[in-house]
Amino acid sequence: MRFEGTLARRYIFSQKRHSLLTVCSITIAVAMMAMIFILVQTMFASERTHIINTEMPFHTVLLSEKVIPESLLDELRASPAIADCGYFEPDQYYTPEKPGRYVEYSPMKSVYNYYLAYKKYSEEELAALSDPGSAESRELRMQSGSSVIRVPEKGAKPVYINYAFRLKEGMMEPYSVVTDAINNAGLSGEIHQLRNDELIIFDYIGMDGKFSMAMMFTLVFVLVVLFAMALRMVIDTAFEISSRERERQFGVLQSIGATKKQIVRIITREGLQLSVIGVPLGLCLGIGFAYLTYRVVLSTKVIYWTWGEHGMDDVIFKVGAGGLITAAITGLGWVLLSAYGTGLRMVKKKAPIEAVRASQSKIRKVKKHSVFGLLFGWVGALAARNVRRSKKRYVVTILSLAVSVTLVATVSYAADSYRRIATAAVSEFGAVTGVECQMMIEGYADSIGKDAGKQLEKELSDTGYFKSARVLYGVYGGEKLSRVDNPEDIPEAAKAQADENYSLPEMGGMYYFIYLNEEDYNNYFDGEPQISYQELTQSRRYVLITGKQLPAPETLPIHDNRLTVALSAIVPLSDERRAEKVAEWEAQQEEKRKAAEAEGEEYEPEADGPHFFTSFVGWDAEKKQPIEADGEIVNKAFTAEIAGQQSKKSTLFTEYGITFLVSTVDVYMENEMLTSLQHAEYTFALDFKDDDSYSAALEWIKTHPRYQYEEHEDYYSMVRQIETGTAAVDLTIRVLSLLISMIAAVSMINVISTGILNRRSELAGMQSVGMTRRQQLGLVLCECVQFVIGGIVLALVFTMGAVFAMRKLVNAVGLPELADQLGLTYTKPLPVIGIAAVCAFAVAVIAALLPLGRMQREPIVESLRGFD
Amino acid sequence: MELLKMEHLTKIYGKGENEVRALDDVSFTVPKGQMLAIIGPSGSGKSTLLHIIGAVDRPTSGKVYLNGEDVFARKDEQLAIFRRREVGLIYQFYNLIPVLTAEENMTLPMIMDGKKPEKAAVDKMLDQMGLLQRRNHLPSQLSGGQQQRVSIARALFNMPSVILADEPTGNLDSKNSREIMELLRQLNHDFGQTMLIITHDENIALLCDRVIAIEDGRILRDELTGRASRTEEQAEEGEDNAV
Ligand SMILES: Nc1ncnc2c1ncn2[C@@H]1O[C@H](COP(=O)(O)OP(=O)(O)OP(=O)(O)O)[C@@H](O)[C@H]1O
Ligand SMILES: [Mg+2]
Repeated sequence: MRFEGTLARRYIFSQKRHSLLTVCSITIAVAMMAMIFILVQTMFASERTHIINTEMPFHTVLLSEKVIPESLLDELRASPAIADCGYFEPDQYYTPEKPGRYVEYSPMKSVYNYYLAYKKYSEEELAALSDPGSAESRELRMQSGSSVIRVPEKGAKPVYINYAFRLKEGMMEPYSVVTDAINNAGLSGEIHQLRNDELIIFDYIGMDGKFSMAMMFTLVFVLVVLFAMALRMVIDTAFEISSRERERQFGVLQSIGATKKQIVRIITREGLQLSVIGVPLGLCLGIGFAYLTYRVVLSTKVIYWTWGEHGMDDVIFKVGAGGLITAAITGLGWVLLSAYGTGLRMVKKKAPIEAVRASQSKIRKVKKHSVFGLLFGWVGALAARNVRRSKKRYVVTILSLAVSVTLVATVSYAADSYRRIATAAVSEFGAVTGVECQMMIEGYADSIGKDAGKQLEKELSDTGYFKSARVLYGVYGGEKLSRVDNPEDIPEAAKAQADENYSLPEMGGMYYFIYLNEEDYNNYFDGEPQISYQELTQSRRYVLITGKQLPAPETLPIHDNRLTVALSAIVPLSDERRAEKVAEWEAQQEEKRKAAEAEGEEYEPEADGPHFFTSFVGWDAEKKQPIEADGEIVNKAFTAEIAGQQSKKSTLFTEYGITFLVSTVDVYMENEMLTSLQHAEYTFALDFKDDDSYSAALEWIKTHPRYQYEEHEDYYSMVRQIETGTAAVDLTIRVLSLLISMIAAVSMINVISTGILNRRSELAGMQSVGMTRRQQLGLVLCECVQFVIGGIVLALVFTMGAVFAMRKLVNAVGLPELADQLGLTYTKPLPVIGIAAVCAFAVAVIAALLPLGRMQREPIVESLRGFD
Repeated sequence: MELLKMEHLTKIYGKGENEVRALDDVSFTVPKGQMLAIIGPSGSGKSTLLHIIGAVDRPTSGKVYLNGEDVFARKDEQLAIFRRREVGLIYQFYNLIPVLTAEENMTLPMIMDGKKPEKAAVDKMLDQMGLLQRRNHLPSQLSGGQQQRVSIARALFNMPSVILADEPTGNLDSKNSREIMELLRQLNHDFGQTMLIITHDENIALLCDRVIAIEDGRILRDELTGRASRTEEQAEEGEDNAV
């Protein structure tokens, strides 16, 4: 064993350049593997943190209007599926990531908070919230969603109890354990279960999580394997080259009695010793690269635009031991495999004497005539022979060059296609929304005067954040919502009429009345109203707004151009009415107490008195908040006469799924049924100066509750999201291309520079018989050109083949126009390949000239002797 | 008694038009302790013969026996050990390991065998070869003659059954040549070392016990020189000395 180690060490130190190259190859291979692992881990960890911070830190949450029985909770706590459980408030979670403790059951919470915090939930989940039966849920449904945010009053009673669970990884379907327990307890209708699917995935919970993660890891694995193969090639060529040169020495060793095992052991030892430097260096470099990438990603605004303001806090740079160990082991594994393989190839020869003669006898055949010979005379001919001297080396160089150029070309191609599609989406955005602005917000004015909108417009402009801020349209009225949904509250007469006419199954039966002043009326219809303002005022009628996604007018309950609906309004309570309500509530309590006593149960009186709806009665300009009063719902039958129909272009408009009826302020004022016209609500179209003014403006809007911001009307961030998304894809692709190019460059430098070093004595021999330095330079350059031409021609073949295949595929799928959209033309990749050719040539020349220059500075006899 | 026995050795390089018969049905035996010179014009197959005897090349057909054992019947591993212990090959172009010092090159076969060379033996051999001052020099720091002496030392150090030398003096001046030949002669005399020496030099050939002349891969002549009669007794002497 001892002598193999000694020999390996001696070779390493005597052939410093080779060793350096091999160490570099190992370092780069390990660095890249480590980088990929770290980036993937960072991505996953950040994504998980983001989910925890934006959604909730629990896998499943139970919502109940009643107290969840302790027996059920005990059963769940004891279940092997559940790791952890407790009450939670949406704002104050407890998780291992956020140390703290579970928040005690808090009477501060109301359904409003819940609704506001989880607005983004799906329809079903919201449906669960607006379960009929409780006064609060009814009230909730009366809100338009975008109206005033209310803070629950002190002492208000929560409607929902939130009970959160963290599940264990092991079971196949731990979430169904919870569901089953609820069902077994007979509480399926009363307890709603929310699932945090994303966290379930990132925590590998159950089948769903494991399956999704397996899919993700498979993708990562494919990427890693591809890279690993490329890197294996780099290490392999490094070994092959440094050993090939010593083939003769291995032959001599064999001839004085070294066994094949011993030879293989020498090379393997060498690989191990080089790895001792290369692997740790690679790991450090990999961490460095990954950190750099992480900083670059942070410095672009990708995170801000995709994850929002606080998204930056969610990004965690994570270096996991597992990834590093895998990278190190892969690197080491490749080194050992390559060394072992090379060692085996070294001793494969039938007789050692063949190896001893290796340097001379290797060349069996030479091409007498070559294109290069014709073009560049004897120097070219010599170069052509030299390049083909070692077939393997030639093939490896050309293939690695071709493959990497093809990869870079196709990758940049994909980026280009993506960019096309993304920019098309951005430019079509205005057309899609029908609104030529970057954001729409709503603002409440405390009067309905004609210039109320202008005043708000000025207030917005004065902030200095906007390039332009203009009123898109204004809406007047205290009660805008009309809906037939609580038949028991509707007077009999109205009910009769409403029942007859209420038939809007898909749209939820919602009607939205808009009363506009003359100016806004004309703006609303882009200056081209079908029916003039005066005509509409005089006839006291309404214009029905139709849009693409709205139900056809004939499906609406319109008879003789008359639409009858039940109008529910929250009106402030007079003192008498209030007293009546309180008495009513007390009577109810009394009744309940009696009922309970009859059943033999103990009655717990409700702590806080009767609930009233909040009625919006005006705007407090000083405190900058709405003025509210206790109110009640009043339902009346209301018939609107339809004067005509007009469509609004905006598809966004129709998204609400609400039937809009437009009339004039005068009609509103003169209608005795509509009594509380007290404020105006405007919609503003905003354009921002830049990114900074966008963030500043959002802050400003937050601190000015007069204005309401809706995420889905924030086109600025949507566009920026697409743009930065494109930038991110661009960046990723650039990094990938860089990595690929680096691998190709390293293997090319390996091959070319060692090709020169190995022929040191031969080149010196040429010099000694009178070859000038200039001629030698020409020879080496000729060789480089041949490598590059070989590689590029092959790359062209590969790329064109890929384009051809893609076109065939697109045609076969039956989407020939997609080929144009994607820019699938044969000429498209040519510039990239051209650039690649120039770069490859530059690398080749540097790889050749550095050792040549050094060699030429040494005395010829030194070089003739051959060894470093 | 015969140490080496060659039977119908034939070596063919290439195929068809390019076929070269480097050795053509060569048979002869070498008794223990004999010092044999192989002569012949360039390209006659001398080196090929030596390489086959040294087991660094394989014959196309025919057999080589050492101490009555078929050399090429051995497995790879055994063949390597055979080369390590039984043969000492001296190349025309030295073929030293460039990363090892003179001393290390010399002791390498023994080290590969897992044995630790005795310091006294090493010093003695180095002294004998005139390399004491050069023991820590790398091959690239040695002159041609010195390198040749290192390669001879390497071949001798393990006390192999047979020494095979391919023009050991080919690159040396007459003084150096003479010294080397005297050294080999001395070894042959002192230890009864069997030797096959390829040479172009008539004088050197005449220092040997027997001369085989080869041409076009065939044995042209095989005759004993005047010293031949002494071979047997020398061999016995050598055996005594070796013990
Ligand atoms: N590897 C090989 N491939 C083809 N032919 C070979 C090979 N090695 C030797 N020969 C041929 O075999 C013949 C014998 O070669 P060998 O080296 O044994 O000659 P030699 O007698 O040692 O000559 P010299 O005195 O010049 O060293 C030569 O004609 C040579 O051309
Ligand atoms: Mg020869």
